Amino acid sequence: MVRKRMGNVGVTSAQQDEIVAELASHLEDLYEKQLEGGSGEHEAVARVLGELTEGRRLARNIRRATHEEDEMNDRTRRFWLPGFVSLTAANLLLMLLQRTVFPLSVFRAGSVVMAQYVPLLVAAPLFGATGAYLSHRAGGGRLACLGAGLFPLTAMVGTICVLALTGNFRLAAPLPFHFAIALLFGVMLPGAALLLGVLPFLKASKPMIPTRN
Amino acid sequence: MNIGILYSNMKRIRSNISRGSAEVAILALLAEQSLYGFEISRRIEERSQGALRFTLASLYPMLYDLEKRGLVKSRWETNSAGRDRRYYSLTASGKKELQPLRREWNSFFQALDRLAGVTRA
Repeated sequence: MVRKRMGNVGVTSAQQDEIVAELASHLEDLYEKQLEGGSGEHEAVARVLGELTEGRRLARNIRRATHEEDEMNDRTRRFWLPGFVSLTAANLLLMLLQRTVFPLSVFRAGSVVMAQYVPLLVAAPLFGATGAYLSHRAGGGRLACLGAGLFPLTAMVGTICVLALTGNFRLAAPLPFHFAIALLFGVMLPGAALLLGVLPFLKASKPMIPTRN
Repeated sequence: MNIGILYSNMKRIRSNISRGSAEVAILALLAEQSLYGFEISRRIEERSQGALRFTLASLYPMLYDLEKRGLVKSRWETNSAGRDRRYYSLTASGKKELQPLRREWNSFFQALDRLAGVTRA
């Protein structure tokens, strides 16, 4: 019940277990104290449940107490750094492919021609996994792992937005069609590939409170 | 002056006083002996004759914060009834911090007494 009312406070599951155990023990003591003080069982239970009505506040206060000072560092460790490592690795591979042996595979849809590096696409789960792993190792939660793993997409999304805004989709088909194709092959397909690598890490959680001695 | 700002400032001041007094109460108690959360809460309530009362949402975040700041440390112990409890004790930094805190609060109450006669009320 304590766990349910409190929700996730952004620490590792082992540390969350300790917090829950400590709070549950407190509530047991409170319940016993109420009974010793002459309260009836219903009254004692009501008193204990009264403590848990502030579940959200409790979770927020614990999160603040354990994270506040390091919030910026945590965000850097759990999102920005893994994300940029993943993005850099993907771009280095792309550069390597352009300069070395792998041929450019071309996708044609009517008058639209899209260049797509199949090897890069094949390697995308690895980059997704790298970003998510680094985030997970730094204690990142699901959202941080997902964001770090999908971070290489920001380059593609940025490029497509710039191209769309500057009118550089200079092909025969109408702009919305080009934009949709670019989104599909430049964002959604690589995104799905990255996500494949991220999925195993989505059950991650974050450490903060010192563990049991 | 804007009433909203005044009210907001008053709330913040009250909150800071409340937080500060709770911290010094916990540190002073732990200076005597190691205690677990419920016992800390019970003793503070008892000694303050009910004037200071902790809830789960106020006590444990404060203990974790004090631990993060290195003023208290914790260890798990199993009692004779087989129940695991996390005992908190004062660190050397906590002991060092407590002395000036006591002086500050003492000065604060003396000042308040001179201003508003609160201790004679």
